[in-house]
Amino acid sequence: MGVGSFRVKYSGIFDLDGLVSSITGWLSSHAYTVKETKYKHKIPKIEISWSCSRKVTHYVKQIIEVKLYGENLQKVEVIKGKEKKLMDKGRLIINISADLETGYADYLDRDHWSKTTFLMKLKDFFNKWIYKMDLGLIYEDEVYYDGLHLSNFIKTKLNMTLDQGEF
Amino acid sequence: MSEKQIISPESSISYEGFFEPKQLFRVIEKWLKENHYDQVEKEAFEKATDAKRFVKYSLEPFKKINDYAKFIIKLKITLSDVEDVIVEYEDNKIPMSKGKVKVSLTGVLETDYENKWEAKPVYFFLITVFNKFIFKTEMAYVKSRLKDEINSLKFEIKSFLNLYRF
Repeated sequence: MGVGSFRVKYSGIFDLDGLVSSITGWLSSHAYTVKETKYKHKIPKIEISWSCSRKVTHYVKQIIEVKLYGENLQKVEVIKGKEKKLMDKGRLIINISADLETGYADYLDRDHWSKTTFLMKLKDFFNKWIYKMDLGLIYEDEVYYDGLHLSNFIKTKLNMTLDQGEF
Repeated sequence: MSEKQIISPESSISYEGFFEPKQLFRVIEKWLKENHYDQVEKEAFEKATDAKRFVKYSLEPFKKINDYAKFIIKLKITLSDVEDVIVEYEDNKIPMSKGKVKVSLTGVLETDYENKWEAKPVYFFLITVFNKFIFKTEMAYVKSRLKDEINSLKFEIKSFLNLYRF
């Protein structure tokens, strides 16, 4: 059950190390636990995946997955002000997906809600009829807007936004 | 993991002028004592330059209202550009401070703080059903009480800072 997905496409000059550290920094500052699930760097391509989760309650966990693909990457020297700086040039695609997990496994990997068929059905019933409003209006909204804000943050980092709004 | 709900979103009181920092803290402490809150100091920071001081305090006093729920008031007190001055009032010289005060308050309701109702899925199911359908009015009353207490503390601080003039 996905809550929302966002995509940022960019082609041009950027600071890859700075972008990576600012994405993980943003996620950590919003109380997400960041796990790097994939790191594949073979010039001219790069592929990094992060799986980030935030335990909101004992029952609800918010998940944001970020996948970064880079193509045709090459190092370029850029003169910024009076200094020379080594930056990256290429094409970037960043996919962000926001999701929610209910009745997640605890720190010992014990999934209490999947122990018996009765509990699994109870969870379905609970999510559908009793906890539906809380899931939809509170927890799904939060993670959706976190995903949206992260994509806006990345756009700002890549100078893809205007200094002022369009209106 | 207990569940925390923000009942009263962050609201702040700002003031600029003469005040007594010690008295301000005493007023807050007195109110917390009278309302049976236990004090927890999260952060205390003070920076003094030649003439001015900057003070930042974060407090998280809490009150257990029953075995299941507790109130938490997140208090952030920031005093900036504070300098010691002497004020003459009716031929008396009173040492006071001059500067900016900002107090922000957030009301949080923490439920199941002892993690008793999350040990088994059936317990969690039952407590949610109870909270939603049986204790609905009770929970609404608890939430309104927390809002009232936040308003009362705000009123106390505003009265101390003489923000109610008319």
